[in-house]
Amino acid sequence: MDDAAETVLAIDNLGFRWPDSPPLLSISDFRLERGERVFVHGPSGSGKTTLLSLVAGMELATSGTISILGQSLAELGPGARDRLRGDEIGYVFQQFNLVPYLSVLDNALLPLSFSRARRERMVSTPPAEEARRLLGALGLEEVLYGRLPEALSVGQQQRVAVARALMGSPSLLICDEPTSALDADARDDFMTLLLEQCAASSAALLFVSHDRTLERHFSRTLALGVTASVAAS
Amino acid sequence: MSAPVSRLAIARRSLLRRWLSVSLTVLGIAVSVAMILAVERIRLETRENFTQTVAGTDLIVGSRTSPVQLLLYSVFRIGDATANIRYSSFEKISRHPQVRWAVPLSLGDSHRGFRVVGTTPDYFEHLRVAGDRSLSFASGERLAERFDAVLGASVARALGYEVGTEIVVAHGTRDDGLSSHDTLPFKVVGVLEFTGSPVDQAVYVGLEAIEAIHIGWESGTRVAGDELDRDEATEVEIEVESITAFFLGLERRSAALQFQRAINGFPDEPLTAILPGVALNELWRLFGNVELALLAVAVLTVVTGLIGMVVGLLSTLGERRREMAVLRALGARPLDLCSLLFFESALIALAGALLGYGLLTLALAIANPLLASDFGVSFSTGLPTLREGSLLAAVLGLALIAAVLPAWQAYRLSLRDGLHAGV
Repeated sequence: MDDAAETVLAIDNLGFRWPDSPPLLSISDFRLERGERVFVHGPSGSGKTTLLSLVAGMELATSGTISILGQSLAELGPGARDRLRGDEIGYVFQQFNLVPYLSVLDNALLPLSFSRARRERMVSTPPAEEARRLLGALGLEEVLYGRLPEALSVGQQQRVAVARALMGSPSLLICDEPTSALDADARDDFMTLLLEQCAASSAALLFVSHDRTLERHFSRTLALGVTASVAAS
Repeated sequence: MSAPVSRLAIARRSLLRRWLSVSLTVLGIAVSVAMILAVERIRLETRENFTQTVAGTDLIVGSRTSPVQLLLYSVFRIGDATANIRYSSFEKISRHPQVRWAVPLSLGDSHRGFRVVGTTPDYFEHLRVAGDRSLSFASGERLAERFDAVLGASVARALGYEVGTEIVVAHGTRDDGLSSHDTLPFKVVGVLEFTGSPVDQAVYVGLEAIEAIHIGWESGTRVAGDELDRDEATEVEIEVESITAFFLGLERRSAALQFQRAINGFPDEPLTAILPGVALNELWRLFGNVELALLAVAVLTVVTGLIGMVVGLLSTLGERRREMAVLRALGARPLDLCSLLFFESALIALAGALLGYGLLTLALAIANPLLASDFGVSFSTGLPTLREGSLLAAVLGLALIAAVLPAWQAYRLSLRDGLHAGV
């Protein structure tokens, strides 16, 4: 594999502001390599969520470039950005990750419905088998797979969300405050399982949280300041 | 490799999750679909039924009146004749070489709500129903004695009569129980097979019997002492003086138009002759607007049903914004969310159409025995005809057009919300 393919996420001279608002984000240079995990933190209003929207291709940068696997998002049309997100990015929200009317297993299989690339990367394993393996590896018991999300605890739901995000081996896993709805025990279990499975699938991890105690799990930190600063340590 | 969870499956589960409101929506559409199909089926089959009822008769002759009125009172026994015609006119015309058969009708009396038809045994020989079926007897036989009566199948069934029952004829077509020819009862000698036509709805007696029971009633009511007693009425020579109408069968049907003109110019008294098919078309023209109004109402209920569906889908979109954001995060394009809403609309409309068809079939299966015995008509309950199929397709098409609104709203919301709706 060449160097370009190793870099999952590249941000260069990024500037972003919402219309009629002061500049919100400014990141001069940030690289995230395959298998690497980075902790993003900053106070409320520092643009954490906006940064994730930009990386996921839902918003476009005001200036500068964001590239996923060497592909600049600004050069892609909206449909192509949706496809790239479906193919290469797993996304875990703070809560309410699951589609309420689909079973746990179908939720885990859902990314394959929107990404041919994810389906094609799984040629060796039947999807349902891989989904069961991932759900099992995240500590979810078999009896839960046929149930609707509402029957699960928040901690269990968040683990289903991780299994779903990792289905079909995307290159980048984005977690947006995934532990904020969990109590301390559930949070520690969750972190352990998340990091294990993320490493197993060798996805890069961009993990946003305001909980600095989680920082110790990560090799690097990206701190976002109130006035838009930049520090990739 | 195809997706393990198809879009259609997603739409279906989404609907099942909201089964209560969805099934009410489906029911609304189903009722409207059943209604539109019912209007259509009843319209077509009534026409078919009526056409078949008159198909065997070439001309109908009565006093000077409108063709539709003559058709209605002579064949369908709806309404009354305004005037009678002379029996001599009937005899004269029926002797014409072009005439193959002639059946006289004397109307105006009734028995417990059923019309009494004075006629001759020729009625049972020449009348045709359901295209070209001749009448046959379920039990008993034709009129022989003066006070014999033959019953249509529905009369016998509704009143529980059989061969041998004695019945009394009421004067006039409204049986008020006050003026009946109770001194001269009739004896049932035969019951006709069921035909699904107005034939089932009448009591048939001889022309002479009708004359006989009206002797002494010339003023319109009973004049005591002028009536015949039973023996006199049975024995006395009676000359029929007037009848209400008559049916004609011609040697050549192609001569009907010419013959009609000749009768309309009949020198002895003013007569009206009608070609039943032509008069029937005139009747349908009269009904045309009513049918159109019914169809319009049915179409409006379909539109109402679909509006209900759109409102239902739109109202859920608010609470589904979170779900939409999740799907967007999984790589769903806004158009995918549109298609999800389209699938949901299509499934609702399809279920509504199928259920509507089922409701109609069920309703007709329940109503048919009643309709057959009370009105002499019944409706088919089989597979949809091509025409009904296209009506169902039109409802589905309309549903997809209506689905544009929620689909477009889903598209708009998903673009606006991005990944961060509802957290």
